[in-house]
Amino acid sequence: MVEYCKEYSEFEMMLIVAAREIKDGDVVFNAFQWPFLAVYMAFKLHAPNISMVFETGTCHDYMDVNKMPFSLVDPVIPPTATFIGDSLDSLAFLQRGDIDIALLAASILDKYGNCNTTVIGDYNKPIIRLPGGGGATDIAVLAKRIVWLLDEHSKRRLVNKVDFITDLGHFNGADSRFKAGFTTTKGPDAIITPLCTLRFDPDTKEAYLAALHPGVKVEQVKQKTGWDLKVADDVEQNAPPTLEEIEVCRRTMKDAMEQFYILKPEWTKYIK
Amino acid sequence: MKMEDKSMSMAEAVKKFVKEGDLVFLAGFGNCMTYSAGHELIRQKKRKLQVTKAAGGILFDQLIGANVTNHIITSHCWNGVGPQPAWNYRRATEKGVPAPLFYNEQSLFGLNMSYFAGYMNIPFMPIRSLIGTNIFNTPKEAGIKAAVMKSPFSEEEICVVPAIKPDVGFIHVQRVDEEGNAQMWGIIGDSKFGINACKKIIVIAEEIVDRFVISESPEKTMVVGFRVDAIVHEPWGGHPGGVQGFYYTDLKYIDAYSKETETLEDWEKWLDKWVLGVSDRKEYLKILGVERMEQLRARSLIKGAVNYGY
Repeated sequence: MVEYCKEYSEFEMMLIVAAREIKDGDVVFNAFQWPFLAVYMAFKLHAPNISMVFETGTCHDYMDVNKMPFSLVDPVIPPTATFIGDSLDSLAFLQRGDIDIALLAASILDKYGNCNTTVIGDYNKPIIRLPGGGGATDIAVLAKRIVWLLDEHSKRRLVNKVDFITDLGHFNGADSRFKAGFTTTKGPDAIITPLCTLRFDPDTKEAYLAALHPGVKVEQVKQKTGWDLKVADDVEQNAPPTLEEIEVCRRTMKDAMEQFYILKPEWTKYIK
Repeated sequence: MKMEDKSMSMAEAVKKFVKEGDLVFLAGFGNCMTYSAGHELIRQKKRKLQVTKAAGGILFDQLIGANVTNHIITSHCWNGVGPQPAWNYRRATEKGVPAPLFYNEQSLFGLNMSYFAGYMNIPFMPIRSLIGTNIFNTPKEAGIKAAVMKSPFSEEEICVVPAIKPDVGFIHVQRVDEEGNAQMWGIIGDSKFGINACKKIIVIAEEIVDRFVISESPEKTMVVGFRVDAIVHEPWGGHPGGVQGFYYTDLKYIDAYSKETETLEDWEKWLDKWVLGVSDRKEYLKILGVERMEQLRARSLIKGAVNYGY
């Protein structure tokens, strides 16, 4: 019988649900920040046969590292690589359609899964200037399946319409993404937040509430979402973390903190 | 074949090859970052440079804060450790301090393809992303950043991005011979195509080696000698970034950087301590200290020897 963990943080739940999206054998495009941790957890838990492709140009079938890479450019990564090329090589794999799934960390998302990583406020008079999309702009339209990770479920992070599309999701909904020329990739499949999993309506391509994390109420999610969120008729419940999942998750987070990942205290309060 | 002595100090190389208004490529994708070149650009008070690399990071942050550049062409500018903000970048884009910053924002793929087109000496390259995003045509002042054209060979429509040919490029590598054959290993990222797109090339190296060392593993050569204009021997020039086989990334230093530069006053102190207050990389390393350098020094992990016989 599977044993479940009773006390865990919302952030841990987000990482674990994200890791579950990776299937064993997938070719995964491994992106910066939280996605890296989730893919690492999937590899340790249920997906030891994944292939990992990094935007730096390296590929891996195994990650035998004595410390958590602080980012994709950590010198601990190359010695275990099966391939080291240029960034263009990794981007070629993407463009060829070789990548099954990419998890991506989102800054601001709208109801069609478009992401803004460029600017908060007016483009010419920004309140906050964000870093820019990096590889996510390309990954978002070239990987077969995209899962967004959003580390805060709030109205400022989940908006009706983004001011600036840095990474294209389902564009203006319905078949607009397809008509824009992206005919071979499906675009965003899910948004995973600390509260729930959102998925996209197959016709309208609008994000709806598909599954709740344990203990979270529908109303709570609706109140924290920046548009009138539709709810599936049969909202699923995401299973709580198993003891094995939480152990791997906490070890991963602890290793990450030692490598200077900035994790908020409320995310790590159960880590000893 | 040795025609001329290409070796010089960083100060001489920057003085000789970088002119006001130049577009400068700075190689390194985490591994083999060109920090020592960036610091010399600051010390020589170069102004109005355009700078480009795939991920600007805190190197671009420093060039922005020191007013060396007010025009960046990149896909990302942040502190990769944490990750946390690059404060000079934010001050410049949000408040115009020390000067308004023009950010020609690209995607990673778009930028790499632009370098590739520059390297190939062709006007543009097609890519299957960018369409539908605001990066495609923002900011307007950047001119035509990308376009959509019909393939001459099918009914397919495809996005194209223009060639980028920087005036001058700096690349930090593990080793180079006296002709300039420059070898890098570990993470390459945008370094190979970016540097080869440049009109003038300056190689910075941890070690100067004999020609026969280069031909032991010629596949590691990123830039071939005949393309190289200057060679700078600068051990630890990549700090605080890592250099595979030489030293690990100085995470403590890079983490502290964001905290030490959050205010303008603190940034000026930082700049004075690490850049303006020292005359070259050797003096910088004295401040860093032997103890820290020993902590960062890479352990030995020798890999790979193949039979090239025939």
